[in-house]
Amino acid sequence: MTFAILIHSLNFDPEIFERLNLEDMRIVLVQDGVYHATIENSPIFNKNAKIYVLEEDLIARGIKKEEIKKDIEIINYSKLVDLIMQEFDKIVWY
Amino acid sequence: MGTLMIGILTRPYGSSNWNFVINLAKAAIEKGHKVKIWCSGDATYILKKKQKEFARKYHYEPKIKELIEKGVEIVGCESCHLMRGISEEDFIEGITSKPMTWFFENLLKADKVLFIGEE
Amino acid sequence: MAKKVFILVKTNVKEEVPYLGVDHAMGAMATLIGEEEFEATVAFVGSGVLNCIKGQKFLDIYNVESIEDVIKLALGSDVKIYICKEDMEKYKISEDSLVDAKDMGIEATIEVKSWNEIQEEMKKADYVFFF
Repeated sequence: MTFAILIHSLNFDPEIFERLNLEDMRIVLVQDGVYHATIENSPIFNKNAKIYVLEEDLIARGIKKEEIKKDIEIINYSKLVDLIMQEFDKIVWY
Repeated sequence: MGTLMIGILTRPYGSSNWNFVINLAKAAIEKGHKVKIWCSGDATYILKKKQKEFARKYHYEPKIKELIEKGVEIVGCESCHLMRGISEEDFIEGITSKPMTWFFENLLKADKVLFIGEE
Repeated sequence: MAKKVFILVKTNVKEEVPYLGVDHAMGAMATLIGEEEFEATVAFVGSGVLNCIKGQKFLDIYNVESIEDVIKLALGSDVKIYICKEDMEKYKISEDSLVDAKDMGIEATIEVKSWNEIQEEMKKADYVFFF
């Protein structure tokens, strides 16, 4: 069961997020959530989750690819649609 | 190919959630999927026609029209839009008004669902 | 077998969002297509637990229904309502202070569950929405 969390803000409430304990968790950073890809101690890195970041939102915010942490996969909307329709079982907005 | 259901509560102006929804819906349609969008709460403000364009500001009406032309089904929560003084005559052509049961009936026919449950 | 809708409410009374979360749960319960039906659960977590305190007077003060009124209707519509035990402790909410619908003759009550129990229910659901 793949459970995807779409994080769309920088200052999201970590209270519930930090408690989530899901077997196959994926994180997709969109909108202001993409800033987390550059933050060393962001709570998103404590989840042992595969992390994706939306390229359009990186470019829009002037963030360069070399600024984001390794192991984060850069995706576009087309790839996000493939993930949603083919890989993610449940998707929530956070 | 599948059906993606998107539910959203967010107001169209003052948040970029709608920009995300429109881009996601467009990308899904381009890949041959069906998309349905359920607008509830302040999201029903997007249904209104005659949105005025200001230079270099978000302007959603043409984007919503484009989605409808591409086959995206956009539905407004009946009580939510009526409460806000928006009647069906105010809608952008092609949008319909339904009770909340429409969302759940169509959820059963959808392959995937994303619900943006914030203002 | 009924399809399970699980709604996690993490926002509090100042917004329309928790109202819409409970409304959607009731909408699910009102939907019946052929043999298909829904079973809806709303779990109040984080500051969302503040929605569950009884004695709200929104009608007197603001002339609008309170989330307490909506939770009562949901209890009467067979929506399961959970509240997170850990967050009740954090916000110092006792079980005695939780909304109930006894005045409407409804036996169902808000069930206190640990975060782990809530999360397990969430994993079992067919549809999960965060409000």
